[in-house]
This record gives sequence, C-alpha cells and structure tokens, in this order.
Amino acid sequence: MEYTLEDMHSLLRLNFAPQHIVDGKVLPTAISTEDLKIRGYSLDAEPLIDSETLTERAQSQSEKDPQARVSPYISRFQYCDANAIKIDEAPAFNIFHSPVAFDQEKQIKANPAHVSLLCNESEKGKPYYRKARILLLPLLQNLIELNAYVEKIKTDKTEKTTADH
Amino acid sequence: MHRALTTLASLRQLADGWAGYESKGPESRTIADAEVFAQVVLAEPAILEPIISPACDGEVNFFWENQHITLDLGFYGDGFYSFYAKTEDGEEFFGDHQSIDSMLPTKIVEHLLKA
Repeated sequence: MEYTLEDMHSLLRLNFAPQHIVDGKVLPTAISTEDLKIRGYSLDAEPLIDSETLTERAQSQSEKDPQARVSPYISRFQYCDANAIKIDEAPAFNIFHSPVAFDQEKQIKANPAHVSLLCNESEKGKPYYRKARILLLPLLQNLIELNAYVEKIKTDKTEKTTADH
Repeated sequence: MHRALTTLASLRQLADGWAGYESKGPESRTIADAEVFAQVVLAEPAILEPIISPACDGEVNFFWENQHITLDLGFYGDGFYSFYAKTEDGEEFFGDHQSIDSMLPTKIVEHLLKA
C-alpha cells in the first residue's frame, strides 16, 4: 500500500520508563546513532496504526526486560517538525513510509504503518549523528501514556465511524 | 563516582537482543572503556555524575544536560570516545577518537562545573 506522509501527520515511537525515560525525559540512547546512519529509526504513522499493534508491541517488548520496561509511553510528533530539522543548512533527515512484511523466521509481525527516519548524510563521523539525535530528541519529549493514547485513538475511531454513518 | 561504576557494572547483564531484533548488548570492553573514562572525568568531584544508559547498537552513553550545556558522549569499545556538546551560548563542540583516558576540552569542563 502506497502512503504519502503529509506535514500534519503525526509520527509515533514507543518508549519505556526507565529504559528510555528518566525523570520524565527521553534519553539520547532512545535513538541509536546506528539507526540514524544506517538502518533507519523506526516510527509509526498515526493514520495507519491500530491500537492492538501498539499494545501487543509494548507487551512483547516489556516481557523481554520487565525491570527496564515498566511504563510504556508514546512519543508523538508531527512529520513536518522532524522534516524541518537542518544540519549545516541542509535537511537532516529523510523520512519515508517503509511497511514491514511478516517474517516468521525472524518473528517480525507485519506493520503497514512503519516509517523510517534516516540521516541524509551516511558518511559522517560519530559526532555528526550525536548532533542529529540531540536535534531530534526534543520532539520525542511529547509523551503520552500508552493506555491513555490507546483510549484516545479508540474514541477517535468511534466518533469517526458515527460521523460517517 | 561509585554510582556511575555501579550502573556500568549492571550493563554487563545485557545480552544481544535485549532491546529487540538485531539489538546489541554492550561488550565487556565497551563497559571497561566507560569505566576508565568515568574515573578520569569524575575524579573532579564538582562534576555531577551523568545519566548512563545503553543504546541498542551496543553504545554505552554518558549524558549531561543542564542550563549551561548538553553533552552526548559515548563508547563503542574501541578505546576511544566521541561526543557532541552545545553550550548555553550556542557554541558547539565535536569530538571523535578521543582516548578514553583523556579529559574533555577545558571549555566543556568549565560548563559542566557551572551546574
């Protein structure tokens, strides 16, 4: 399915306290520099995500390290804000829809909402990618408790369905 | 310094896969490098301890953030550290291939001491 990101669309990232969030703030290590440079930092496009996917992912990740992943949160920010970040007067990131197919061998679930965020520069030294994540980090600080977020998107869907009828 | 070293020791339990598919746990040598640097930088008792955390690519990170400076500094087990810092007046500092037993640039230390 082709999907075009639009400026006002929200992007989401699941983070956990205390692994990624300490004293209410997301840490730089919530964003690996290798992801920014090579693999792509994984996000979800809000218009395509369903609440079950988020809940299942949080549960599955929490089970792998229950002490570090006590409280799940959603970092939510707009595509245009990430897209506007510049380094040396050039756009820092390429943000694109990258749906994930089911992979039984790797135990990866299909995710049609998957979005990748990658630095446009791929040959810079480590300090460059540290700067890139420090610039991205403020966007991740908009945190919503996962349960509250799931309730919100369920309510929004119900209201939309009612309006459509 | 004791708390920093205790936190670093606790990272030894993180194995590959700890943060999902393809995630890497910090290698022993990465933690050892961070321990050496912690003893250098925190030998100055007026410098507050950083937040120490692992990233899913095997990095061990030291993070300082206050009204005077933001400093993102990390280790990958190659005997060096790298960093990016930005001070309250907008001055930026970039460091790569810094030997783990070497202190930070004086200007950065001055800002860390202000906290």
